[in-house]
Amino acid sequence: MFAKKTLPTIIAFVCGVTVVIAYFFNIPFIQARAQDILKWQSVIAVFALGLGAVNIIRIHVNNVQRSQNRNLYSLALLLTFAITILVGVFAGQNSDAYKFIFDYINVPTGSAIFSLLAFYIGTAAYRAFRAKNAEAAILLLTGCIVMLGRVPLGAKILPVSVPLTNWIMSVLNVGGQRGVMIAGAIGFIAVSLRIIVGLERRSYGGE
Amino acid sequence: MKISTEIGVWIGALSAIGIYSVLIKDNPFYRMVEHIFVGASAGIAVVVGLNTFNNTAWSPMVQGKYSLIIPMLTGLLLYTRYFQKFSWLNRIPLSFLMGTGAGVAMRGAVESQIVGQISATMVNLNKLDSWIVFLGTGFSLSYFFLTYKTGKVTGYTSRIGRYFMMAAFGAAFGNTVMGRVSAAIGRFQFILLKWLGL
Repeated sequence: MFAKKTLPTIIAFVCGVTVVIAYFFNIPFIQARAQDILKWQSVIAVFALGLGAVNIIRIHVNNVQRSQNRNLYSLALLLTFAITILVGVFAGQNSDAYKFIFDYINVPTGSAIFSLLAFYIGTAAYRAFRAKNAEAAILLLTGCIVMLGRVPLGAKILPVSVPLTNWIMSVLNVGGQRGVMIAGAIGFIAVSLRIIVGLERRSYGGE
Repeated sequence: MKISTEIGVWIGALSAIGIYSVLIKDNPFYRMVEHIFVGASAGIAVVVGLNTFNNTAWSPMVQGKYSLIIPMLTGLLLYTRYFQKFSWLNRIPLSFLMGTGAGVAMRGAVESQIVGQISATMVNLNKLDSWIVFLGTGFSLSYFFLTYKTGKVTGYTSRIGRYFMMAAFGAAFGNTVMGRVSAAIGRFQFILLKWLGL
């Protein structure tokens, strides 16, 4: 019982409190321990990353073995995964082969996936941008002005959109975002405190 | 028109076309490109992770910092989740990660998101724009006062705060759209100019 429930809570409490105290108080002993904890955290985080890799392998090896329709895709994923790791480990991250994978597979595909939203956002805008009330009208207006002010064509159509965009971004946007950020941070601190004192044990597998 | 002869350009262009093909319909070409991308991205993440492990744990340990064996063994406990009998042991590294992460996040939130934002709001209150930012921040914050019943004054302030937040969300939406559109333009330029040589 102690090892299963209490020990994880104690570990989370000690680590969290040490890191927080080291930040707010100038106590060399605590600060040195906090540095150790942060170093250890980065080592354990690498093992957590490995856990993700193991899960990917398990799922896709399973797909291949079950011979579902997706087996060819899973095989391609496993092959690319293995080749990338082998190239990265044996040839090194500065090798031409590794750079080739990064520059011609990872970057263009990632960029294309990122830009896919440009096509879907039209329908999203149609749904979101309906001036049904004052809030929606403000959303519509600022969104349209910023979109116009960010492209050369927009500046030709409506020259005032450029200074207006700059004003919206540096004044209205900052005012609204700061309120959200501060309120979010207060909520974040509350959740962090709950984790540190052991009220959120589910986050590390407890009940 | 002079089509590129570089194999990398061909792969990059075909990958982009494969991704864009999903706009018509989900298809095998798209799925294949998607799976290859996931494989390559996960592989790159693992390589970076291994490099970090080598620099922060393995090499220092070989050079004599034997205390680093402790986080290594703790990290290995994460894998006990695959053995039902010992799966509870993975709570130990998880609690270490969660506790430390919560502590780091807490001090980061205090420093950059509360103190930093408040002090940035309070400076130079000698211009109209600075006052708009100051009041906008206050009104937006009043929208999140959920612990007491909204009165007449707080009702007004929270409503104005909602208007400020809507303006910020609209600006964020417009920025996101333009960012994605410029990424799409970049891809089309790559396909048309670099691959097809138009």
